[in-house]
Amino acid sequence: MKCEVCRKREATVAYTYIIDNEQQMLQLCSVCVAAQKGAESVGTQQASKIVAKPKIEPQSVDQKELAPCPRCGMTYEAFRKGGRFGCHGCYEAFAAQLAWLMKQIHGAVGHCGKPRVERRERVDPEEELSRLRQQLQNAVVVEAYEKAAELRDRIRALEGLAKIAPVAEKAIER
Amino acid sequence: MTLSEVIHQAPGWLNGAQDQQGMVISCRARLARNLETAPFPSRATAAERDKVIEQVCGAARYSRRLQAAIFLPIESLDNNTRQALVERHLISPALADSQGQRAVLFECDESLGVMINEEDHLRLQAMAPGLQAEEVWRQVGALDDELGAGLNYAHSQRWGYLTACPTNTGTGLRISLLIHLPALVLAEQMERVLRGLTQLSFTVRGFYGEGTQAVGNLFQVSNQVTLGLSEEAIVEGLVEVTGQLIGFERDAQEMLMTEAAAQVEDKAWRAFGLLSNARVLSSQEFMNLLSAVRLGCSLGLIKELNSGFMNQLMIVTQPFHLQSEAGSGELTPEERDIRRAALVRQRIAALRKDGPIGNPEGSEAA
Repeated sequence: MKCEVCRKREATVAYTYIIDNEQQMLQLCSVCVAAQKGAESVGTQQASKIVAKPKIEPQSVDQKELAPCPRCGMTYEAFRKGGRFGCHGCYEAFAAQLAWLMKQIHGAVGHCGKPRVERRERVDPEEELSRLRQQLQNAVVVEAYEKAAELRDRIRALEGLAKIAPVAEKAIER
Repeated sequence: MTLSEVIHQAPGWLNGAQDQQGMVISCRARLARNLETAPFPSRATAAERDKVIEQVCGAARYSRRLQAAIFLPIESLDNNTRQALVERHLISPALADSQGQRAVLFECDESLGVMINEEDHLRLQAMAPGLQAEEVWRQVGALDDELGAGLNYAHSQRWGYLTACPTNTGTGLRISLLIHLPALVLAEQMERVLRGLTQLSFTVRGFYGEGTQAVGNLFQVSNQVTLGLSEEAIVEGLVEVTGQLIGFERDAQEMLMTEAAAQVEDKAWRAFGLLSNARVLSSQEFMNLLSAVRLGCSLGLIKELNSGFMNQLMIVTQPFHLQSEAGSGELTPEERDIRRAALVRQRIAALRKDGPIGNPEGSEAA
């Protein structure tokens, strides 16, 4: 029989997956199986399937009223078809529908995990190393050996276990 | 380290550690991230994609974890190499087969990597042997912190990390385990188990095969929900569910041994005999035989092989790995099947020469 997805090639594989809490089977050709394998999880299929079912979508928001995303130009219609946003701006553009969509997919209405990793001023490793070495010298001089040991470890990590000034090292080992 | 060396090494995440008596082969944590500076890859122009690659590489330069990373622009690789990387789980089939500028950065030991311009700008991943979900989350989270400090991640208060597909929004975290459930399959319990898992919001995928549903009785279990839960909760949930799965499999194995010990032992040893001696092995047959031998090992019936050895075998017998071993000249499927059998024979023979129990890191063929 012909592959149920492309309808061109012969089906050679019975591909089992789960969608909407039911086990489904598709007769697929090897090319379409490879494409299915590419989908990170069955979840991506669920997104398109849910979004493509107009019956369960709330009537309160008329899709035609949703303007396309100003950043990338994607329309809500295009999103529904492909199951993918075009850019992060789409989240704002389609905000009216997102609460409903996310509830369907995740059963949740907001993020409660890791906050955004903030951008930091990057320090040149060489600068950082000489700064740390200076701090190490100072720590040894004032006999703050615990601090000195900590600095030594950080220096080592940055250098990849290169040797530090023998004097300072001996001082710490004492 | 050269790419060829990578393809021939035994990656740490396959060494069989922490495998819960041979049941959990490996685990993986993946984070989806995007930059504010460009549309998502499918809608980005060539120039924008290039810029993303440049920015990610810039951030990676300051990352301790990617110190000795290998950088590969996918477009410049031939198909054989791309598919070999897919077989090693270093890149996804999507990254290999899609168009446009895209790349991968990965640590030499293959435990840590970043895909650039797949479905999202960045897909970070960490892999480890056995059931080490907390560890892979820790690793990938640390890499995320390092890279994020040099990039402008797209993130909103309400929706968390913004991804191309809404099924990844929020944490962007997908944790998955590769688990071996032969007794549950034999006992025809898998359908019930799958249903239960889906109701708990876990996705289960089998490895495909000709006409069968799960080749080698291997399943990939992963979380489905990425929003509304903290990353720790997601990890905890998966660990708990895995504990239950392992319990079910153990019960099913016990039942098998109570009712059909001789048949199970026979099946395992016959499989071992075939693997040790066959001259032609299709990948389908190889996976099925390996599964029977794995079950034999889990039950303590076969002591000759260990998980690390079998895991490594699973990787090197894949089509593009065999092709890379053969060098030039495209192998026909028949030639591949012959080479597969020869490779398996060689490795088992070498293992036997070195002693009944190979080292935990897995054996290399002589």
